[in-house]
Amino acid sequence: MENTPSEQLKQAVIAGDEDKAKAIATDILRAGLDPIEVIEEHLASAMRIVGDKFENQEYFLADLMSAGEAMKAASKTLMSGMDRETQGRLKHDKSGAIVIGAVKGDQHDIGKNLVAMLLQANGFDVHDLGVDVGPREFLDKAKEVDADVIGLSALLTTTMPYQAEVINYLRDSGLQDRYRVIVGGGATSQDWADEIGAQGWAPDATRAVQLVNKVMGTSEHA
Amino acid sequence: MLSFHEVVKRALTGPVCDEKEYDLKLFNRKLTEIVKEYDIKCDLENPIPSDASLARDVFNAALDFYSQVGTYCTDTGRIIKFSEEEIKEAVRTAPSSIELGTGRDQRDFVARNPESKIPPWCSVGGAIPTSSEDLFLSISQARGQIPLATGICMAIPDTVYGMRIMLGTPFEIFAGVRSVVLTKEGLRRAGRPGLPIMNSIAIAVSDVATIASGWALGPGDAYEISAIGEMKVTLSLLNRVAHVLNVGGKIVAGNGPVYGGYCGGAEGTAVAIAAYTFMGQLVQRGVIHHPYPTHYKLIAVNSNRPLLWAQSVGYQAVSRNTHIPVMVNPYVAAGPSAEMRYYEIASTVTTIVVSGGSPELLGHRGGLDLDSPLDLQFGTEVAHAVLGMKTEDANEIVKKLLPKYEDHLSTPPPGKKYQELFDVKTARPLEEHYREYMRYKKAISEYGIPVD
Repeated sequence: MENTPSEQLKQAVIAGDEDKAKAIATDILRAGLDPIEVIEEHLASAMRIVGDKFENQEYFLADLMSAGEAMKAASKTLMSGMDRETQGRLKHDKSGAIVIGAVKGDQHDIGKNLVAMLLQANGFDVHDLGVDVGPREFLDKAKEVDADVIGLSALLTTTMPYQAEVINYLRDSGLQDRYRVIVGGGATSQDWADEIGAQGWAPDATRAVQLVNKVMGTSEHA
Repeated sequence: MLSFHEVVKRALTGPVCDEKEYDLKLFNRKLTEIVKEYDIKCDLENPIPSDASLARDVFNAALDFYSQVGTYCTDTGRIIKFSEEEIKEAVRTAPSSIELGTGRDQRDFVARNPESKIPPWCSVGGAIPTSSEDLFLSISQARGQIPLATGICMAIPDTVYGMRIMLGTPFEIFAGVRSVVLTKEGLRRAGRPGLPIMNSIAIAVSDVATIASGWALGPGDAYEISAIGEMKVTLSLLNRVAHVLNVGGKIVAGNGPVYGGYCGGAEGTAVAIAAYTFMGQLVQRGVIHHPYPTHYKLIAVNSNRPLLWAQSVGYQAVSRNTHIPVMVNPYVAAGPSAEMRYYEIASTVTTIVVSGGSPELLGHRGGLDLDSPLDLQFGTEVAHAVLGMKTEDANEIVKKLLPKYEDHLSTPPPGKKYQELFDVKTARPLEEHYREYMRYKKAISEYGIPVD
């Protein structure tokens, strides 16, 4: 394969080498290459390959996260060479914006991180709020980034009710129709999702991506 | 051993580290490097290895690894680090036997070696399944009636007094007390009032609920305190440890390394299983090492080939090189009463017991009341049937059992609910379920596990 700077950047992202990805992105800008083309074609292709490697069990969570960090660093560098309008268009061209986090009281993040990274690999604009996130923090972030979907993770039986709290908070704020809310995590189930009025439930990271596509109406699975 | 005060001090003053840096650049990177450095390689063709030098290498790799990465405190953003000497001293001074239970149900939980003829500890229950509040008593009684059970792991009620239980609210405390009261009553009805509760109060997760409802437990019971993955603690967790140490309780140090998570593959998971022993001693102050490894895609499952290898090697690393008791959750994919479930239980329990561990047999994840104490009874029978079995022989048996289920792990049968399998009033299995259990036992005994 041709060893162009764009191809080198793609390989650096696949390898999860953040420093190298950033350095190549800087060189690409200096060389006057089109940053939009690099982001839309090469970085997107790199993340698709990373996602495929995860599906084939060649890559694990840390590989996904390292690739995601490398992609973010390269994107940030490349976007610094664009005007604000172009940056806005690129963001708009993403598959959708997702706000995700483990709900109040829940400190477990491995499953949630897997979902966040796989969504990112599939072209979504992912905003990960971390763990122990309250209803208001979810809503504030969803408003800020104009989210399409809010993803709520809960491993424990005793933190599951806080997923319902987020949905109740959205309803009481009159915003229940503005965002699609999906739930997941060790203790949850489809029955639970139905009970609390979530738009969907997924048992694992791969099916969480399918679910997001489904609730956004962007999938053939829908 | 290093004092717990010193551990807390290090949580408050240790090296500062960003959490993502700890996950990726410290934990995952060091583990990957160490697996290479010690040349640890998984052999999927042999899920139960017999090589003592492999166990030694994994133990040394774990020691090297833990002395470099320590434990991360998420509240303070600091690393609690230990020297190799401090870790070795903790292992050297750990107890090898713990007295649990009371009266006729009093037993010693003893550390075992691979191929040991010492009967394993058999805890039954598990905190994964959620039980309806109105079935909780019957399920507890049914668990207590399992003849080979030496301990009980309390279930998690879905409600208390009809209210949904939320962490950090008074309902968590009410649920903590009520679950102990109902479990003890169930054990009394089973004629085994002294059977120890092994997981303290599964529903009480916060420090305040643990402390506020802990009075309901007795002196023969144990407190489970589990690390957050991977190798992390919160100040709340340390508060719980401080409480149990102050009341003279016994801690089961839980940990759930995730295959495919920051541990990477089977080799990293095996090293992490062993390394968690050190964290369990020093940070969680455990008297029992309690791993429950899981899979990143299959979620609460460890009956698959890579995880059987990782478990066998990890438990052999601990049991051949320390005298610390090990209790493990065999996580299976198929639901209660499904034939596949019995093959999975046979594989995982055999792997655990011949590798020097003891099983804590579980209900099922995935829905309310998905539970059959008869399935758990089968697990205890397997644990006793493979006593003294050579690892080479166990390996051959598990190799024959795996093809019965490994292609179906991502699409397992969901199984049935407790009330479909048991008479709720008598807490006894329904005839059809019992017949199936006998049929499965006969089939599995033909593989070389004499359970019939």
